[in-house]
Amino acid sequence: MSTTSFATYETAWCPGCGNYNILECLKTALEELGKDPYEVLMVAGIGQAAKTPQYISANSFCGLHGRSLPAAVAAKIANEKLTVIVNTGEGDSYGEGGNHFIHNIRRNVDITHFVHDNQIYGLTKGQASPTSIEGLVTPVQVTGSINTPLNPPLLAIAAGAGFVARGFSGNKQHLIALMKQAIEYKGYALVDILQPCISFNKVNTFAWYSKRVYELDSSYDPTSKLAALEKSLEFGDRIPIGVIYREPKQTYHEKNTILKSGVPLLDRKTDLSIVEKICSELK
Amino acid sequence: MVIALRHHEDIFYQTIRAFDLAEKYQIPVILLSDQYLADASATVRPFDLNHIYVAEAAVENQGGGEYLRYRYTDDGISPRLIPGKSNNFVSADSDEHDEKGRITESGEVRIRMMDKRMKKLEKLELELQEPDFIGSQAYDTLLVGWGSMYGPISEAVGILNKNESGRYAALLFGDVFPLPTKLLMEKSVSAKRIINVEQNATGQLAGLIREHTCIFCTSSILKYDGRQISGEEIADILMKGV
Repeated sequence: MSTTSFATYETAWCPGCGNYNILECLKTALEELGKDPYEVLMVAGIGQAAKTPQYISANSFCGLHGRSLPAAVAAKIANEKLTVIVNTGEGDSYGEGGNHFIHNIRRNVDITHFVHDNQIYGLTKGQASPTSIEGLVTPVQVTGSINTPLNPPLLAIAAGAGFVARGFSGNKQHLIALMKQAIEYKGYALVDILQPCISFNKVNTFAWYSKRVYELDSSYDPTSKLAALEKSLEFGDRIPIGVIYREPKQTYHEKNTILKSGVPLLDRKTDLSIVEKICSELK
Repeated sequence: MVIALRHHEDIFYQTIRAFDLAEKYQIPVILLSDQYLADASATVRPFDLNHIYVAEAAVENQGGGEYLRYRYTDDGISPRLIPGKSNNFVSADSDEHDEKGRITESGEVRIRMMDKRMKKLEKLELELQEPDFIGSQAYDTLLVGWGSMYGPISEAVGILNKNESGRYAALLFGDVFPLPTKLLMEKSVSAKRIINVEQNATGQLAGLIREHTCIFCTSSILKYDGRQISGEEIADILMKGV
């Protein structure tokens, strides 16, 4: 039996959390794309956002903190027929998983990365995250965070990502459209999704984001890398949402000499005669 | 499960065995190797490809009903389905979870899942590989070592038995965790001295042996200057007296 509807389940998130909208948008995006839930694999690390795979009917893998990308990439390499989507937080993605983030962009495996970015560590009750604004006071950073916040779109474009977008959990229709484009993009696609953490981030609230975000319109050209780098720097009084950069790129599977034949690794049998041949050549 | 690789031939078969054990028991298997083994060359017998085997994942959801990735079973092992290969959801989670793979904070489920995981070890212990026993049957000194110390210790036992009329034997461990203890218990009885020969500063194998068998090594030879110990070096130290 195959179904194209994705069931969602009761969550452990705070009422009013931005994650609810993101989950709803994800469900809608997958359904509108006609995805078969049994061929979708949701991957996450650790965190509140990282619980997302728990709340939707699909295959799921939630492993170690910061290690969602290696698992997602490995699953896609083993079985390219899977639609692999990472849903996790900015701490998991850019902090603990910062190295994986940079180098998996370079690999360009065809996966989608939705980062729930609330500029705070929510699961552990409110420490500064990689994107927390400088000066943010938390129970740990009592005199304010002294670190420069990381700029995810800027970093992703600089590392060579072919699809970089920014969404907002408060603008559902816009987010659904972004998610669909990201899933359909051939290669690594990043959507940094701004969302309020209503319990632990009292600065970057729903109202704070709502006042600042604006949709990029047709006057903006997402194919220009220089323009995209410049657009990525815009984060303050005005924050652009939409596709910031888009470029067709060859994927890991298309470039890899073993994988480009299109037969998933999973369906291949080990050919022992090759080992035998090597052994006899060395005799 | 931790397997320390001992020599070139061992590496080939243990790597295949590691994949087999990982699939069969649904556990991580760690292979310990080192630069010495990786840099060393040796002549080996042609590999026997007729007797190698790696378990495979389940193809169907046997027993019907909803597929449960962490189904409670008698031996603690739940059949693994591959995501995307059947109309079942496969959910894996590193947090404590129920049979379906959904995270839980229930104390009751926690205990059942811990017991389930521990149960796998009971079955695994039945197929642990005892260490290799080498040297004289009439030994009074028993050397113990693991991993790539296989070569140097074997060489040292050969030299020593030539020079000191057959007083030396050794147990060379490949499987180190869980630690196989049968042969160790048996061979330690007739040993006047048990000496661990290791390339680390703390005597990690001696520690494991103490923890699991209450057998204390009488003395140890530890080299930790970042250079490989040789058979001659070990023999030399023992002939001078440790």
